[in-house]
Amino acid sequence: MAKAKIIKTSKSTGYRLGEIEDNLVVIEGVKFVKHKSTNLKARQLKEIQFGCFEDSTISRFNNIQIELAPLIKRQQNHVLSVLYHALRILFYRSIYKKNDV
Amino acid sequence: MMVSFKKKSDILNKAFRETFHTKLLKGLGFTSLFGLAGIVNLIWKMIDSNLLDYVFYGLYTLLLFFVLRFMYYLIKYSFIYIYALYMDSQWGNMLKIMKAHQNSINSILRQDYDESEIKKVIVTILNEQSRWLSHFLSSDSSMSIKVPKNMSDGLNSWELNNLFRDSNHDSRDTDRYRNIKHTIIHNTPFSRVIAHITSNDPKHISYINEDIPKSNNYENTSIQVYPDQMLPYQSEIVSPIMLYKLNDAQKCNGFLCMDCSDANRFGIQREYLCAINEMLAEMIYPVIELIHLKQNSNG
Repeated sequence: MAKAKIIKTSKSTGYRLGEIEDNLVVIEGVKFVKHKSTNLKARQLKEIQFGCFEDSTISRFNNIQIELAPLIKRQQNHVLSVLYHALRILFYRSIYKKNDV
Repeated sequence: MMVSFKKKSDILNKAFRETFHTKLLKGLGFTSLFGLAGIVNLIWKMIDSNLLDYVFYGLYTLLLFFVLRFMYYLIKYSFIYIYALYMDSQWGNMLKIMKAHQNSINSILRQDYDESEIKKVIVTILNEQSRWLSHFLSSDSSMSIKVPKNMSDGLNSWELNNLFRDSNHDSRDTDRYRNIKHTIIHNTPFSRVIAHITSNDPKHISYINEDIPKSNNYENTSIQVYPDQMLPYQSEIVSPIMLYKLNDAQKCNGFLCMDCSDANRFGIQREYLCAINEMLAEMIYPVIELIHLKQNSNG
């Protein structure tokens, strides 16, 4: 499992990923805060683990053929759709009101 | 079909107030009325007719003006109310869809599904989600799940690959697309999400871009796939697939990407769409974890 130590450094604006040593990721662009206990010009904030996948797993999943029910793409008229849904919800509300739910 | 009495009276009340709330009326003081009377008098003299008739014509015109104005505001506020109901209905549908997603994911976790069954369930979830989004945003929307690979080498080689995509947009997974190295470092959305995770601000974990063509410093390796260097989408939301518990070390199992073919479609709903995307990403997390564990146990 890959691990990345995320630290913040640099005074510049805008985020950018960079690398200063193996598996140590630097996100530049955050206001620099000098850590009191170390001379490093960076502060470790969080450790992130990545669930790393193998090529074979990804290609196996990509090559699996599945059969799904065909999706029906509805031609929509937005105004009619708004009216339909509004009337639908009004209708349901009237039923709930009558039944005192 | 019933609209509550309070709501009806609210709409009528608002329309009535707006009818008489006009700068034109404020300007129509006595001075203006005298001026109007002078003009009417002048016209009366010119056409030698009865002044009273013209006064009545003026009053009728004024009344007609107010009636039309009242009708305009009545229709306007009624439509606003209907649109609010429509939005209620859409978000209500989303809740039902999310419930169905959770049921499907639970079925994967409780039963020993094989890979094709897992893919079928996840693609169905992405299909439902993209269909709802396309309807809600009135624009073609797509959903996909990207997972990391090649993380043992240096950061420059950290890649993401498409694991699942909704079946309406399968055509994007061309050989050319698969052969390109989609590194995290060269894809702004993913590197920004990683940056957001470190910020300890649970409100801003996802990456949202509402107008990609106009974004400065936006990098995306998929651009190389398209001859015109234009992505098939103009807005996107990318959320990390992880448990959104920000106190401890995080494990990121990939990214849930939602994109839309038009720019500036999210509008004031962007916050809610982002929350929905993050919610779905967290729901999918255990499934990706399961695939990951199966991969490790087989390996």
